[in-house]
Amino acid sequence: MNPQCKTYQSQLIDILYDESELTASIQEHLDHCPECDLYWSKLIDTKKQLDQPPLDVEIAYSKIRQATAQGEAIINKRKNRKELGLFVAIAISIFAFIGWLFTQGYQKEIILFQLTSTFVLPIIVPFIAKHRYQKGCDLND
Amino acid sequence: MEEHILVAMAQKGDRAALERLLQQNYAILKGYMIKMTLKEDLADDLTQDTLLKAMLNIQKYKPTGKFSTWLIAIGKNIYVDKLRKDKRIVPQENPTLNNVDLDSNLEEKVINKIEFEKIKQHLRLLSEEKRSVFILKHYYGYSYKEIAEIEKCPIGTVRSRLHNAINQLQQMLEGRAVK
Repeated sequence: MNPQCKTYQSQLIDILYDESELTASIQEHLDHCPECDLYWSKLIDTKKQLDQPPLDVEIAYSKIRQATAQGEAIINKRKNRKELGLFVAIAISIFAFIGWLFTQGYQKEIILFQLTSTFVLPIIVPFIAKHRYQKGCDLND
Repeated sequence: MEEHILVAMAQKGDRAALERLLQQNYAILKGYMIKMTLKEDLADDLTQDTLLKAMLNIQKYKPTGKFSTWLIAIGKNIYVDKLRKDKRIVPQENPTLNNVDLDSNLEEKVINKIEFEKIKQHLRLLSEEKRSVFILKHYYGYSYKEIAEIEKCPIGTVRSRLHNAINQLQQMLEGRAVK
């Protein structure tokens, strides 16, 4: 086959699938080259033979809903896992910091803080809440 | 509603928008899967897996092209992974007329099915890469650029795969031995 014909034939497939345009020079070649003209007609015929009406695919609404629900469950699970990981990381950091303070000789202060936060804070909180509530009532009046 | 609006809504966590987007592209995805696998039940499973993966990765989607391009790329990857894992997947040898819905369009559906079974026999003989490129170009009209995105290969490779596929199919239709 003429190397020029090979190039034209390669371009004809692109033209067949709208990736390139049938230029005047290609058309002229087709008009004068029976081999390429035959190739072009065969290409059109092949395309026709392979054409097929679109497959009758019914939209499976329930399957789409199922997939999105399943995906949402997985996303929530991942989110929970992430949050748990963050909580563990923060908890470890706090414990490490307390441990470090302990080794630096702040044992007494740590114990004092623990006792305050365990026993005194729960007693103080209702008083603070009551105070804030009264303040709010005064402002409304 | 336009695709890019649905995509934006879906990325913000609107499940209804995502479902609508998937509904709009379901037929293309499933059709591509049927033509690729040549097995309806396998296509069903792969389509379901693709929908799930799309739901999980919707935040990563960059709306530069069609949504269906992205969806088909996911589906293609899932199919390739499945092929690697399960080498037993071979296209059906005998054409079947199963799963034809019984309704008023039965005759038309059967004819379509028979037509498709004929084409399937030719598609089966193409390699996975050539088949995929051919299906995307011939049946769905994707551009070389879009196919290159789906196949993750250069445009030149897409072009040469299509050319080879067409020449091979032409030989098959003419009843000549394929080289």
